[in-house]
Amino acid sequence: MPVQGLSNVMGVLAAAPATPLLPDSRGYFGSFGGAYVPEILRPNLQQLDQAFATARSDPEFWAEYMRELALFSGRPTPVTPLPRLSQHLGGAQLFLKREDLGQTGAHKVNNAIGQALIARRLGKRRLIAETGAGQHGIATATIAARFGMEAVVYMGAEDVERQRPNVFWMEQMGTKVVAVEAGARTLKDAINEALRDWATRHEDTHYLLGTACGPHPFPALVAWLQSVAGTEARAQMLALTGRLPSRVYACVGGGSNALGIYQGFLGDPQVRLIGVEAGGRGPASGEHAARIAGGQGTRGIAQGYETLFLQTSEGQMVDTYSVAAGLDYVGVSPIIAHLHQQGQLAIERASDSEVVAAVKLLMRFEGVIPALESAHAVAGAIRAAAQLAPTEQVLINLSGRGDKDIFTMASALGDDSWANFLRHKADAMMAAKTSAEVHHV
Amino acid sequence: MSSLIGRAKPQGAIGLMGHVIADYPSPLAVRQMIQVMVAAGASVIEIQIPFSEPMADGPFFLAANHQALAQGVSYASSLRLMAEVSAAYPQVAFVFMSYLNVVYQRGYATFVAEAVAHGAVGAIVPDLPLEHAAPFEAAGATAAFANIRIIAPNAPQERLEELVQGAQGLLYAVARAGVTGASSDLGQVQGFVSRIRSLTSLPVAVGFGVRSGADVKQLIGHADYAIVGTASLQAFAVGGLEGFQRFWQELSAAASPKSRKS
Ligand SMILES: Cc1ncc(COP(=O)(O)O)c(C=O)c1O
Repeated sequence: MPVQGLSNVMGVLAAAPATPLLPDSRGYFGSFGGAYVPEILRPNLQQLDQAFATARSDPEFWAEYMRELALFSGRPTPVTPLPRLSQHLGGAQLFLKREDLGQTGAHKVNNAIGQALIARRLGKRRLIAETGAGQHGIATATIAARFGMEAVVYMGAEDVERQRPNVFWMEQMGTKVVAVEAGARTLKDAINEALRDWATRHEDTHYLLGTACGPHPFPALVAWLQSVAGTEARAQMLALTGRLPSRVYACVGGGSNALGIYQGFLGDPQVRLIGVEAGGRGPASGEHAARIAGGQGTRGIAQGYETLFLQTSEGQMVDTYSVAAGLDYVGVSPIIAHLHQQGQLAIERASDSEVVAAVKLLMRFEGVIPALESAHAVAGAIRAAAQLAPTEQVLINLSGRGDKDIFTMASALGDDSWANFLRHKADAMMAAKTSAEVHHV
Repeated sequence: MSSLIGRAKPQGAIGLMGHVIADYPSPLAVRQMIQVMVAAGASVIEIQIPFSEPMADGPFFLAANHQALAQGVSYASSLRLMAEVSAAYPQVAFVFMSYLNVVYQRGYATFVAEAVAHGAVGAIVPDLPLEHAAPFEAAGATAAFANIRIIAPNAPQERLEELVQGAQGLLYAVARAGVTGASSDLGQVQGFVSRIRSLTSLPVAVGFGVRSGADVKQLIGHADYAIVGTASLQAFAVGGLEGFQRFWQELSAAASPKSRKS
């Protein structure tokens, strides 16, 4: 006997595929996108575009994708109401879409599973990926292990240092992590390096790009695979409350989790879609990754596509910054840039300190530990909530969980006991190592 | 420009095409390197305007691009270098090489006008595929400024035909998959190059992995030009100006074996 009412709160068991957001024949969404890659990469992109078209027209592909998401990643993820935080803020009713509950703790795994299925259909045995925070790298590592594929993850050397736990787990799963020393040693440099690998080795290799950026067909493909979150969330809001939210918030790094959740609501003009970029240390500091909010990003063509980049007047990319490594990127999805230009979504930013405050509130009132990336969306919603009527519903895409951020959060909060703990752990580990070496001698 | 970039050399010889990064490793060194290249018989020279995201370049050029930018090499200093060397060596065809964003930020028409005014006859832009090239090529057409198209060895016949159709100046045939810097099996490219040559009367230059006199020799009778990039800059990095001179003498001897003997 099924438990009464469960289907009412879960809304759906398996989401139907969204109508894909597709570009024109040149790979453009309005005036953004395209496929600006060296000639040698053309067959790679063409083959992938073909495979994407085949997957879209083959219901068995989506069914297989949903099965894998259910069995490996626990989908559907719930929508969780936040009554205590809502009451505390004294305004709108807040809800979280729980992408943090998926395998590896972030929405990144949806795309990784979907693309790995496509790669398998193409007979590829090797996956390569870029990663910033390490979440996409981890997602790629898990699916590569599960499918018995070889995996190489390119990661800026700076990020390798910042995200050691993710590097550790990737390596334990058999993935080779390559620290990229070039440039700013962050995400954009890792993307360049992955493209170089793919230019050198295509026959057996799929480039599993982690966000809705890069040359066509990646933006469209990643957005389509991530649409599962939006399709579920819409049904879940209706099942839970009988109504749609009036606003949907998502953080915007490359744009994949945002496009995922937005796609549930693009046909609902009464729902306001809001993206939150990394405000870092503020617009004047130069230390941020706000490409759209504040208008500092300018049109350019790099990393294989045309969008708004943070760049100099001569077209050199500048270094970006965010407390959230996953939002620390110079470009933004051409689909996001286009929807924003069309007035279909608003883009704001949240500063590091607003984000840390939002993490604390969500933990204290609701017992949820958000990723620092996702906490940008939470911060945006918190800022708005008090101004909104209690009858309004605000949905926040919680793209990931915050466990990975324990080091960053502990130092942001100046937690001495955590520093002591690390010191003791390090001492104990060194001592154990020394005594093992002594025994070997 | 086609008047400057000629077709096949006399029987048994091949043209040399060199590559430098603007004002790198220093404004003086790059001028000395160009002088050596010209003395060794290079007839086409690419001047790369550095870019922060050089996706078609391997580790050596990648690092060089970033270092050049860190040293303050700019669009303006690249133009200055172009003006100077194109005036000093009128027998050589100078072209810019850069990535699309550098050109795009300047504006296609402005870039072409400035490049031409400073003595460039064309540009190589590896991340500008044919599908998106029309606006840039249109800007170049009025000034007889060539967008030098790149052809990859994995191109099927239809793609070769598309790329050759309407091409200007020179065709840049990439010897292998991947990025600049690694070596190539140049014995393999002969069929590829002859497929291109059967479709066009434009000269064909082969680059990526041409690293020595022996490599240059292998291309004689097949390509019109051998493009030497990474190995040349490495020769300077390792052996200074003298090492660079020796390297280009080796290339020169390999490229025109008969004229050397006489
Ligand atoms: C939890 C989480 N949220 C968001 C992002 C940003 O990516 P996107 O904008 O593509 O969703 C990342 C990237 O690493 C992430 O790990």
